[in-house]
Amino acid sequence: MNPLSPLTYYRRHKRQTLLQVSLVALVTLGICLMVGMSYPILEHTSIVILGPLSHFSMVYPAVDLAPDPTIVSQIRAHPDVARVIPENGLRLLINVPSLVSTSSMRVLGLSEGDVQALMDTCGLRLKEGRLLRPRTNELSLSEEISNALGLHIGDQIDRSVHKQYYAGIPTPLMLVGILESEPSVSPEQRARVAIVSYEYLDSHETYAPRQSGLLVIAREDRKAAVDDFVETTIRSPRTRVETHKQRSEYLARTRRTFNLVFGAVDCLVAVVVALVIGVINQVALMQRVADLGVLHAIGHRKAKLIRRLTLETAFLAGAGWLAGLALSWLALTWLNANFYAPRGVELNPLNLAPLWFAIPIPLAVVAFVTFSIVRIFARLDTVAIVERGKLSLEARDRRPAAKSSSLRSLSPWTFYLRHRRRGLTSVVVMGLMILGVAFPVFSFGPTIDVQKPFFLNYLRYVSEVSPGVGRAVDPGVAGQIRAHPAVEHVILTRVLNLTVNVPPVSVAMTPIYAVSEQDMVYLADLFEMRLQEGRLPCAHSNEIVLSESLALNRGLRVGDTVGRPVFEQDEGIPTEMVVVGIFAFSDVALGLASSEYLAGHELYASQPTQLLVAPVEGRKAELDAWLEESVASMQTLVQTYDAKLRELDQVTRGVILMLTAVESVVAIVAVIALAALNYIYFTQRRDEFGILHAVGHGRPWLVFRTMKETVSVVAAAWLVGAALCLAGLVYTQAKVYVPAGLRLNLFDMSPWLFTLPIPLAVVVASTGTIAWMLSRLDPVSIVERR
Amino acid sequence: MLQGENLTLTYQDGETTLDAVHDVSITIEDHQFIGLLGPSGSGKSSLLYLLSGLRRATQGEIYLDDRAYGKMSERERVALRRTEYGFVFQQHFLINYLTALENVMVAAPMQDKPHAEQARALLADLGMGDKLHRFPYELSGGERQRTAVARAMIHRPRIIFADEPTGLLDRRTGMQVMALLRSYREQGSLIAVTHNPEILSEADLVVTLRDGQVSNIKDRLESVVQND
Repeated sequence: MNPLSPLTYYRRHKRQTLLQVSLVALVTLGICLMVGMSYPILEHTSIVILGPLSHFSMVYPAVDLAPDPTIVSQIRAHPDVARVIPENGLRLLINVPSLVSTSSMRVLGLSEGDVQALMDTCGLRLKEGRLLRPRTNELSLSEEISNALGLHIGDQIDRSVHKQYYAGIPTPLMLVGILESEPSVSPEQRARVAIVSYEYLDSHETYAPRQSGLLVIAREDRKAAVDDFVETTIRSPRTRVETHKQRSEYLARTRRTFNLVFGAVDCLVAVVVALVIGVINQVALMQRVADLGVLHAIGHRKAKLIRRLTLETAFLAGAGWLAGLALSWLALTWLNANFYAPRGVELNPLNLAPLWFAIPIPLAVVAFVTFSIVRIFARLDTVAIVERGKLSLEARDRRPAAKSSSLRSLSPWTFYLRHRRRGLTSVVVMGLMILGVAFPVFSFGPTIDVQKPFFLNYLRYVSEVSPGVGRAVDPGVAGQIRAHPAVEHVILTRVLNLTVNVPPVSVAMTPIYAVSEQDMVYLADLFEMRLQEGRLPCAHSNEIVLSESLALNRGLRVGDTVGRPVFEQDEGIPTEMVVVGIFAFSDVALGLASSEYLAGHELYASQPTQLLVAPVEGRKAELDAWLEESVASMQTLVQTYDAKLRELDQVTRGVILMLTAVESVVAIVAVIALAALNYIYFTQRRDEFGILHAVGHGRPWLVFRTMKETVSVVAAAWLVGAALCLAGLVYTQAKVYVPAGLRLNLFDMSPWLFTLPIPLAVVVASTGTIAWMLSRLDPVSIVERR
Repeated sequence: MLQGENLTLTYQDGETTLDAVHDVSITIEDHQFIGLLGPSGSGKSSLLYLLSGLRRATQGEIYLDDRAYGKMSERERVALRRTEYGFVFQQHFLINYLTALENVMVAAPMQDKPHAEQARALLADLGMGDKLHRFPYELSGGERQRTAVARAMIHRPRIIFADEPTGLLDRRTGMQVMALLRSYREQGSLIAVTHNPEILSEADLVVTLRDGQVSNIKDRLESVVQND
């Protein structure tokens, strides 16, 4: 039996051991859950796209209706290419819901013979139903997609069924087959596909003329070579390619941003936990200084004692960390089974990402505690201990001589003035916690809000009416709208979508309305957009005019070009467009182009037209109500400001849900950590409370006094955290948002509300702990002590 | 007047029941100095804590004037300690992070300037005028105890309870502290626990306890007659 083994110490100090292990375990659990729950949501879009691309590459014409025959021959002739499959489902999209948003997924238009070949390539097999028949409106879906959409065999989908999910499906498609991956296919390579008949799309007038592309399947183990070939040889301004590597790079960029944000939160939490556990350890260590002094006196070297204490901490931190990982694995497995998988989002409990985020926690704890141990040992005076039976570190309680006394001896101010380090530790711990919550809230929270000028604010001035089926709004309905007394003007338009960056990680689409020259002037006037530079586009020209915020976001000036040929992510603008004018900054951010140009270009010919309905002044609400009640139908889709706002609120709720989860984790950690600290601090102040109670200060007064102390420190911490946040926000505004044409509303109070539960919970938990401990305090046992 | 009637305080030590105080009756008149004498474990401190309301009697009743402790709530008994009683313990029990002046102010009725002046004057009277802003660890044992005495006096209590206030002090300092406490008799009563008969030479009444029971009560007059 080794009396100095850490195990003996743990056995005799179970409560302290449990506290430290639990704290590390809880924080590890929190971090793992935070990362583990967020990662799948973040990666969902990429996974939907990356899965198929791990089996084939895609080649599409950027401008023309079909790939250049020379290019097709070149691809077919490449020795590493096993098969080339024609595909014509381009821009036929399903918006697959994930937990908090949707991801656009391309529907593949394949001929009968190619469906089976693609399934073989992707390791897919029929799970339910049958394969689709050629020339029919039948659809096959991967089971993850059908689960996420809640579809069953026999269900029909089109934009009238769900405005958001099937906005890109103009004619009804019927689900006839559900596909699943072979068990041998790894989770990352599982292809989620939606397949319709090539012949059906090719022959249906709604889709004509249809643009077609190629799926390029590589020979075994030659996928990388083929990707390289299409990226370097085939890719050109006229030919667009999509490869696994290319999408992986995009995903890696997204991950980097995510890692940066969550890594910062992670570091903050790790520092906080290290501080809290460090303080707990330090307090425990101070109680053991006499033992350590005696051990040193009888011949144990300081280095050996330091090693032993460090090992004790490392063991506890390691045990807590492993317990946290095990708990998080259980929690993530449960979450996957009950929430993620049923919604088609893959949450892999064995994903290593949370593990990396959890690693700093035990390391920070051990580092901080070791530092503290070394510091204490540097001041260890063995002789003082063995000679006088006193701790050698009496000096720790020594303060500089007071120049004066406080009138309010029991005020929080006096207490913290005399316990600066303790006050500072509490403020730093709490401040970092608040920063840890506020940072992701402000990083992700405003992303929806700041986008409003891009796709919402214009609906304050006009309402949109578009065809549910077909390429144009029914003439009868259009006539009704024009005749309505609340309508001032109806504009026929086609819409292009310009891709804009929304920091920190997402992109959004903002509309470019293609209208006639007269309507351009009318709309600019209606939206109160004033030309700051250049001019309006000429009719029949590939010219556009943009709001300043869009130009800033994309770094565009007059004379620059946009569109897929010059910027691959501009999928909503298949041709090159020249910026000829820039509107001054306003709360509406959009662009205008020539309707004549779009009408005359074959790539836009199949695009449906829609109506922009401008109200008579002061009658917008009346018009919107009428449109929603009387015009909106399966054949005619209506978009009003309120409806769009409701949609946004739904997305916002999802983001808020995620942020609330993050906050809950941090709040729980903060509460437990601070309650533990308070417990320790209380035990150190037991005599003080005992004597105060003995001389006539009642328990409620003592609780109130402690509450005042806690509130003071919490308020100070909140102010510190908030000030740091505000500084960060002002910096982010200047360096990230303004250059991207976006503005954070620094006066919006809602993100700040997220920071309040932590201080409140800490005050409640601390006061509760102290009240409970005071209820058990026997002052006589203290003053009677001999 | 503080009066204890048939006071018994019982402790449970495992399965054994111990009577720390057994059927003790005692009356303390205003401005009286009562000494509680007895060997260690005789129950004198327990009686002190019963009389001061820090402990509840297992049996018997205590009256301050006509107010019975048994009918008071915890809150009322705490308020009694705060307003009517003062305490000096064997150890000084000063709060380590507060200066001497601040420690005295802890028991002041209000933490305001007039009471601070009062505390200052009191400490000056006790010979601590130049050490008002010293922390307890910067004071000697006697100075600490004098600060504790000032803390007990600041709110002008009716009774000061002193539990072996000189127990940890040398003889000379102990006598100084007792002199300070005795001087308070003009303002209120003093009940002091000790096992040193010497410091009770001026007590009006000396109650000797043994095994939780009163074994002897002597008044000052009696002592003087005996000495003669």
